[in-house]
Amino acid sequence: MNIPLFPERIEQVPRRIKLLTRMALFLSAPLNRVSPQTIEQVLTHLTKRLPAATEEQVLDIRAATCAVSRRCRSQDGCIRRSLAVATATCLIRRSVSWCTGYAQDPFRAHAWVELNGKPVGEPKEIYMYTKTIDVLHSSTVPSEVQPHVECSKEQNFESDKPNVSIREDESKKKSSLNIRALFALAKGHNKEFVAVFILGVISALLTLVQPNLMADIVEQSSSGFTLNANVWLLIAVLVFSTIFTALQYYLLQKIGEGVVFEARQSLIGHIFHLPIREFDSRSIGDMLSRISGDSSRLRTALIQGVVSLSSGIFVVLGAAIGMAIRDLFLFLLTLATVSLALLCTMLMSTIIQRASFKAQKELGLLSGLVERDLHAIRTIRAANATAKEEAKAKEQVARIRRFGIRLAKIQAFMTPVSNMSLQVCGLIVLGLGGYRVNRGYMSVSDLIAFALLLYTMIGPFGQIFNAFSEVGDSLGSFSRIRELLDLALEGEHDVSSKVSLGRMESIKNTAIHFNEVSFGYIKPKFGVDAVQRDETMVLRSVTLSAAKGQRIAIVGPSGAGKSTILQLIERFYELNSGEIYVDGDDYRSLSREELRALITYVEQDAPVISGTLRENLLLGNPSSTDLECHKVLKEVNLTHLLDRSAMGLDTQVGENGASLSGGERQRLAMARSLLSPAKIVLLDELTSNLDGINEAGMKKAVDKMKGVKTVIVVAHRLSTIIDSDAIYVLEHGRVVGVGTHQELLDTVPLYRELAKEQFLA
Amino acid sequence: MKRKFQITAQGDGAMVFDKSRGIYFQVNEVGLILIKGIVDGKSNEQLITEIENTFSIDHTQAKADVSSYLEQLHEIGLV
Repeated sequence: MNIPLFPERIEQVPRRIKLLTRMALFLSAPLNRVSPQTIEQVLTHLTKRLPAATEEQVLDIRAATCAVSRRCRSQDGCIRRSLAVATATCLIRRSVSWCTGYAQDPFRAHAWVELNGKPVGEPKEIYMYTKTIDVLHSSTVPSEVQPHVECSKEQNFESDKPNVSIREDESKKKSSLNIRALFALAKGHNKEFVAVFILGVISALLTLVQPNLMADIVEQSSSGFTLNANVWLLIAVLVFSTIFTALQYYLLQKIGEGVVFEARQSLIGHIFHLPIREFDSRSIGDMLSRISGDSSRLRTALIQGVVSLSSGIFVVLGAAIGMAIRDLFLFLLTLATVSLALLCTMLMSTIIQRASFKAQKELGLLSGLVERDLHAIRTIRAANATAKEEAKAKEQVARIRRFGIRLAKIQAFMTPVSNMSLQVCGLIVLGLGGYRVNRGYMSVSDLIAFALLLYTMIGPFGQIFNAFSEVGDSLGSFSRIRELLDLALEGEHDVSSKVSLGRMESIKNTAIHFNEVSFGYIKPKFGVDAVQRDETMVLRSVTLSAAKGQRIAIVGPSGAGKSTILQLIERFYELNSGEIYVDGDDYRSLSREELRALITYVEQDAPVISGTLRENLLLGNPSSTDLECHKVLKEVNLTHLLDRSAMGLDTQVGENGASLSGGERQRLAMARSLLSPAKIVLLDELTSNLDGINEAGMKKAVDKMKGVKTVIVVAHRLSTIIDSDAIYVLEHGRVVGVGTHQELLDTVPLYRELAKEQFLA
Repeated sequence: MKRKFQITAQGDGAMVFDKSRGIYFQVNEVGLILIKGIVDGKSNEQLITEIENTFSIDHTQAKADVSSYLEQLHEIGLV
């Protein structure tokens, strides 16, 4: 019997997806009959090289699976359904995580699919399950996925450590990208690469001709030195060889700059669109070091790599052939020595790559540390913590030095190895060569040509050795860049408007409506009971409403979740449960850009960007005129800023608005929001740094919005919000009261207490 | 122990998932110690000593308990 414990809706999905899922159901049918262990092995094998699917793709496939198979619509069909979804995802050359686990009281098992640790299409009860198998998809970031798998609680026995081994593979993949991936960055420079290659070949040929010309000149000079054609030819070869090599290097520098440019552009483009959650957990300084330091290192690898791969290899090969023709025995001896050295170098290159990754990581940490300290330099000085912070930063510098020395040790070892091998070659050639000349096995001119060819080969050979070291070093940096580029973007797993999202008729006239919204900054963990999960919640079943043109206020003690509500309206974070409606529509049906165009948000600490007053004012509305800017500055009582300098709106505000007071920064942020055409205004502790006169001025500016814009104000000072249309009182993430000032004074003890403290009751 | 297990500790015992068959078993504290011991390759005598020391029971009792438990594991196909 099929028990529809989690009833599945039959969605409208395109026929081609239905066809795909029918095929996937057919192909995955045998998996339904095998053990979870086999399923794990098969899916691990199938998904390991495929990029992750998007949430929209998985939702569509899941909906199609439920539409075409009745058995997949029920709880009992979870294995069939999840396997079909995983298989269909593979068929479109994408991957998804396949998971299975159990929940207790009553005991039940379940199978589902996930993306980046987030179950797709599953009800919130899924978090009651403890995972037992998790076949991670290829782009899953281990640190993100794993918080719910507690190593102390779970153990895999025997050699079956699929989760662990996959995670190790993932981390290895991050620090051991291959050179092909690095060269893929230079995709748009094919013409330049061809030119570099041709120039490399010509330079190589010109270099290889030189020893032969020299040998001829030596032979001809037995009867006295004359400026014959060979001498002039040698001079011409030298000149042209230099010109071609210079051209080759110029083109390579150009390609290198192009690659660094593209890497930086991708990084910047990616960082600006990362979810806000990433900025909560990552160091800004580390991100900056990836844009500046790590990306620069890519150039070195490309230049060294290409030079050694083009002209270097040709010269080495050409010289080798020339040497073999002159004396095969001597050549084989040389080859054996060089091959041994090359093998050692390649091994060391791998070690260098890992060491470089660690060194760059430590450098990123230092950037983060210094950036954080410099940002809060006033606080550090005032708290007399300068020495302590300085010591911390210096300790990190010392760590980097240790890592640098470790790296230097390996790199330093590489040079003597290559030098020694070349010296040994030289000794073999001179010693054995001399002996072979004496014995009449080779002529003097052959020995000279052989020796010259060997020394012609030394330069490019050294380049190849160095390239291994440099490329290994750069790959470490490249791994750090890729690590950031592999992070999912803010809207990457959004449910698009294609998936039917509810519209509640009763709230169609509201500007903002929260329906039973629960949220926690910490991702929900699997296998954690409801009580524990509730403890991590910042908002618990919050329902609130703001009609169009209304002003509502949110009050409550610190840590009650007031600012979080505003951040959720901006969709900086995803809800754990519940819905938010903006202008009557589920806000997930809007893109982030569409949503944020409807809203203007003045943050609690009123950040001001470095630059001019104008740049700060136009941030929200670039089309505002000077007249409008002057008007809003007057409205927030900031016209004196224009009088401070003859620059007017082009007056500099200093680094992060350092030349402005806290109150001025707040008023400038308010002026920015007044310029915005958005109909919804979110104000977070707008008047916390203002004196009485300016507070009244700001209140007046907010009052003017009444009936025109919907304003949601978070406030500690009740005097600024007592005439709001509705006041929500928040405590420990729950709404404990809603009404007007007078109603709340009569009915909500917490509000009465807050009002009493501020002499308003 | 030939099968592949995933053991999730919970409370005093554990949930054992037999990946080879897709079956869950719930075991108590004694069961957890014994299964871990078997997986670690401990001998019957070592298991008896561990039970004896952990629960402060006499050797004969521990021996009987371990023997009975192993028999049960055998019956349900866990070993």
